[in-house]
Amino acid sequence: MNTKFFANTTAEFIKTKRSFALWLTILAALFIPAINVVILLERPEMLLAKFEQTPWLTFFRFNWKNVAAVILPMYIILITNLIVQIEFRNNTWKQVYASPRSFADIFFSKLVVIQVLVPFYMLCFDGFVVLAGLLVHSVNPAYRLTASSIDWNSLLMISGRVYLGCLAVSVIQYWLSLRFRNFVIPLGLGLGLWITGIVLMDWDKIIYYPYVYSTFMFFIDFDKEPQQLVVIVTSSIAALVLSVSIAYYDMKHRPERG
Amino acid sequence: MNQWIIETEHLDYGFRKDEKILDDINLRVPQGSVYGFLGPNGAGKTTTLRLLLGLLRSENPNIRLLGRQMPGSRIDILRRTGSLIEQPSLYLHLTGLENLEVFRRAYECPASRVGEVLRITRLSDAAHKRTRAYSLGMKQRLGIAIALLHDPEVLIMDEPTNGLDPNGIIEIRELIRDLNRQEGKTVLVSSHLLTEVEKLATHVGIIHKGKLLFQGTLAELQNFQYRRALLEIEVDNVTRAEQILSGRFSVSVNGGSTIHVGHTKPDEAALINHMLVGGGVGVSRLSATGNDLEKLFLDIISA
Ligand SMILES: Nc1ncnc2c1ncn2[C@@H]1O[C@H](COP(=O)(O)OP(=O)(O)O)[C@@H](O)[C@H]1O
Ligand SMILES: [Mg+2]
Repeated sequence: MNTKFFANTTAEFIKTKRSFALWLTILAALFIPAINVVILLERPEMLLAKFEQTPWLTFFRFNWKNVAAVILPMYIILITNLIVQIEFRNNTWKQVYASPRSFADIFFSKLVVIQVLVPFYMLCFDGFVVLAGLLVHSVNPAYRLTASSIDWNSLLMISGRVYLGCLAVSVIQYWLSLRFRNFVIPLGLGLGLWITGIVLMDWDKIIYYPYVYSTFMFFIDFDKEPQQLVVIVTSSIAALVLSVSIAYYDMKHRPERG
Repeated sequence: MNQWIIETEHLDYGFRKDEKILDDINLRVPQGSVYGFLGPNGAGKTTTLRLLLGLLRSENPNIRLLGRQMPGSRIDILRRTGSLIEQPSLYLHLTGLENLEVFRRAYECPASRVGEVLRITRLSDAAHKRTRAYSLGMKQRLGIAIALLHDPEVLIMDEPTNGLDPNGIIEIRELIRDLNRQEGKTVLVSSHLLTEVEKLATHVGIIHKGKLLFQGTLAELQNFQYRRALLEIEVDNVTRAEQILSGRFSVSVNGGSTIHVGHTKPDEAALINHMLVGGGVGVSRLSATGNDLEKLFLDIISA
């Protein structure tokens, strides 16, 4: 079973060859750091003061705030859609389901692809952010973003927390993409669910709403509210387990395949 | 041990409740046969084949392939079954070789099989081209190559020649015939064209509006045809002709000077003519109507 699952997962990666997946990942990762290089270099008089204390941490948060709240949810909605649409567009679901693979194998091998691409996106983004910081520093050394002072710990902490926060959403979006042949539906639902989260941010039950977890993971100051970290980590994990179970159960019991 | 490679028992199916797309289908596909599954568009062919492959869920479908129950032994059955359902299902952004590599992993067969199936389907030269650039015939052949990867005992193909040009049709037909005769594979192939089935099949099942109206060997279908065949005879005395023949054959008067006579064997036409002439009736024309399979097919499905 395990070697077979591994083989089929590599097959899932072959399917993404020459698709837009890699480009989407790199472009989405490059977008914010590129803009921020321009902003920092154009507006030093406004920004330099903020960078005095902890230049790298400030720069990380400067970049991550957009990603945690906006770009990452967008990326997840698009990439799950793109990966699953490869099968719909080519009419290949029937061939996949007519091959001797268990439903679990089919469901999880593709989920693995998504769960590799999302961290890969974050890795690329973090890489671009560091490069952007070094570039800014080389043009304007007043920012003090030196190679020797890179705050790797903070970067890793932010990335890890936000990733944990977005896991459930990536599974929910995967499920929606599997459910609907028409890609507009999971796209529209994803955007709707995400915007709803932003609108309802102050609602007292919002902690049950997975689409805000990655935003919370970034914006809540856990040094001041450490108990909140426990709540959000627990919620993220619970939502992940729940969404995987529901999505898998539902897909296994669909009346039609392919 | 059961002789039927594919077998369904009282198979019913509807996409919605109180809808009967399939109605009491009892498919019997013998080992080593090429079973032509014939029916007009919308008859239920694809639905049947999707059920056989477990692509449609049904509670207790009573489907057996290779002696095993579907969907209970789904994976065991699919390990020994190759399939091609409706239009080609290929990853168009990948090359032929990459498409085969994707499915090779699912079938767990050695890498050498890829070259072999490319050779069988004569696609070796196009292996490195993206399948987007393939002609429909090449796509269909690659679909068959995928179905052959794991050297299955059974092939299930849904209208594999649909939309192909005459050359493409001949190629696919010869490929199926070789697979059956040389490699002993049992093939279940659907079509809405009788002429296709006639040229290829050893056994035939005719489905119409979800019901299996005929099932048997091709020879049985041809015999069946004569039982229902009619002679159209032009005579100078209709009343006398009817008297002479009505004791032995079913006769109906059809207009002023023609009668229709039902018969079962081709050599009976000579006997009928002999009886008429011997009885003093002048026969000016004698022709067979409705004794080609095409007409029979239409008769069966419009009955
Ligand atoms: N996915 C589906 N949902 C609802 N009805 C369907 C579906 N697929 C086929 N049908 C209906 O089932 C009947 C049989 O279709 P099908 O099996 O595709 O026929 P054939 O392959 O013989 O042309 C048709 O009336 C068709 O409209
Ligand atoms: Mg069909």
